[in-house]
Amino acid sequence: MIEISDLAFSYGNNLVLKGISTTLEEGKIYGLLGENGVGKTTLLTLLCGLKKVQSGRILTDGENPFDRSASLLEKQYYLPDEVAPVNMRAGKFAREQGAFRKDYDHDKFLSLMEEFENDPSRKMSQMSAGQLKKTYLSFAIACNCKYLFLDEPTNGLDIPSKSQFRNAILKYTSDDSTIVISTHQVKDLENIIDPVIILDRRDVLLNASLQEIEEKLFFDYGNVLHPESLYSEQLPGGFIQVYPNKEGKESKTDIEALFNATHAHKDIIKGLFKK
Amino acid sequence: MEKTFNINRFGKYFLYDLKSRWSELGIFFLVFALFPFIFYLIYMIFATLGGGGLLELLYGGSVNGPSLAVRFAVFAVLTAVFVIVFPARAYGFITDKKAGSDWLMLPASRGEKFFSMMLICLVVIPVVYLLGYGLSDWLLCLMDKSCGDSIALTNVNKLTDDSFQLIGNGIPLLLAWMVEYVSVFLLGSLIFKKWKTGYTILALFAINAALTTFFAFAMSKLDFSSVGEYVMNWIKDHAMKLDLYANLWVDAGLLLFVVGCGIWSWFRLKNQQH
Repeated sequence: MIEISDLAFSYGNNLVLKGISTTLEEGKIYGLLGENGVGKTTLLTLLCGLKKVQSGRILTDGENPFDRSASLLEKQYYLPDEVAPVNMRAGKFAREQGAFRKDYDHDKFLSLMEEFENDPSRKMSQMSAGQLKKTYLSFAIACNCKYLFLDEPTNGLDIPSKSQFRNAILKYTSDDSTIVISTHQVKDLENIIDPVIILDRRDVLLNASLQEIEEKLFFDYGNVLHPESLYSEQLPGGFIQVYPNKEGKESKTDIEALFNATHAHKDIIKGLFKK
Repeated sequence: MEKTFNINRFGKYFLYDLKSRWSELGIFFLVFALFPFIFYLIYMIFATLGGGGLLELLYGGSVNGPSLAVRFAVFAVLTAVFVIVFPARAYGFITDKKAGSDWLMLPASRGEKFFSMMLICLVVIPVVYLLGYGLSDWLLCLMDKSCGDSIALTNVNKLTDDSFQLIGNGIPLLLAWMVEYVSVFLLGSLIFKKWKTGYTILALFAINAALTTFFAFAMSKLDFSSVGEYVMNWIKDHAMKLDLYANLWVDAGLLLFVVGCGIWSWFRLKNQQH
């Protein structure tokens, strides 16, 4: 379990995160959403220990990630948005790096590479950006880590690869893994992320499971505008509207609409989900 | 201790580190280690074309290969270049966001990574370079007897002035000098994000200038009549052991310098963020 308490971080005078407190539980795929520059990548790099917490605390299984102990590093994998084109064949790279992780499964890596239609015998330095990303994604999933941090994993992937990525996450990751996926392309990850964390500048606007969201908000796909709508958008043949679910009706979350509703009515959403 | 340093994991990491450094530096290293042959070819081409060498060959004469003194001068220059350039090429990537993040997140402890880096930079690469260069030069001298003695079989002190003999004969002097400079250029490659070698040289100039100014100022405040007498008396009393004391002083200074650079490098790695 990852416990974040009163976390703050700034770049010089530019305060990026302030007073962030939340808990990331096992067996969940967290979607970390937010506009550009709100600190999604900063939060991920703090979680994996690439940055040092300036104020507050992060504890991963009771350890400070910035200590970068070998035992904690073995339990986690961080995939940055931009990855390094190593001068090595993909299969060899995976086998050599996987040797440091006791749960690494090379057969799984090869299966994932096949699903992504990627060639493991190819040098990574000769791959396109998308192929390189898919190689790293295959390796990240094959590590079978307890904690997987993915920063904009669908950036640079073509349309078939995005659906292959969703399938891979659902099919190949273990049920007790905690996966945190940062993205601003919510459509790419719809149907796999649950719970959803929406970051605003210096604040967590929402950290709730889809079930909680659907209990408290109603996503109306009808063609009549509702006066209480927190957010509405015209779609072909109707609207998507989000409003408080006072009658306990069932609906399916539209993450993009949820994100827009949250940003348009920060206080109302925070109030609704206050625990 | 298991958490900080596990010998099995260190062994695995050290081999991985060696392989990675070889894949990054292999060609660069081979060019330097095989340079005696490259230099020999260049030298012979110029010796044949210029200074009547071609005419000598046409009339059945021969052109002599580069002498020991020439080859030693080339070796000294090349070793200096190698020592100041290779640390940044070997571990400079650590400050790079993409490659450095990957390295920091590799499941080995900080101690294992640091110790492997120091072992490779301060021992493995200098020793293998010296062996490689020495072997190339020795083979060259076997193939062309006109080159004279090989560098590896020569007492380097004979080629230099007497002051060099303060710290023993050639090879320890060379290794000590290499370790000292590798330490400082490795530290530079962990501190500076770009132009690592250039900035390290500039930083050394700046530190030297600051120290010179400081000591010049301190000396100007000294009463030389009393200090001079004291120093002369000390030298007179310890004349027989002056070489030894000078050796110890230089060795201790060198050791302190290397340990200081090592400690700084350790903290640099500890606090490296991306």
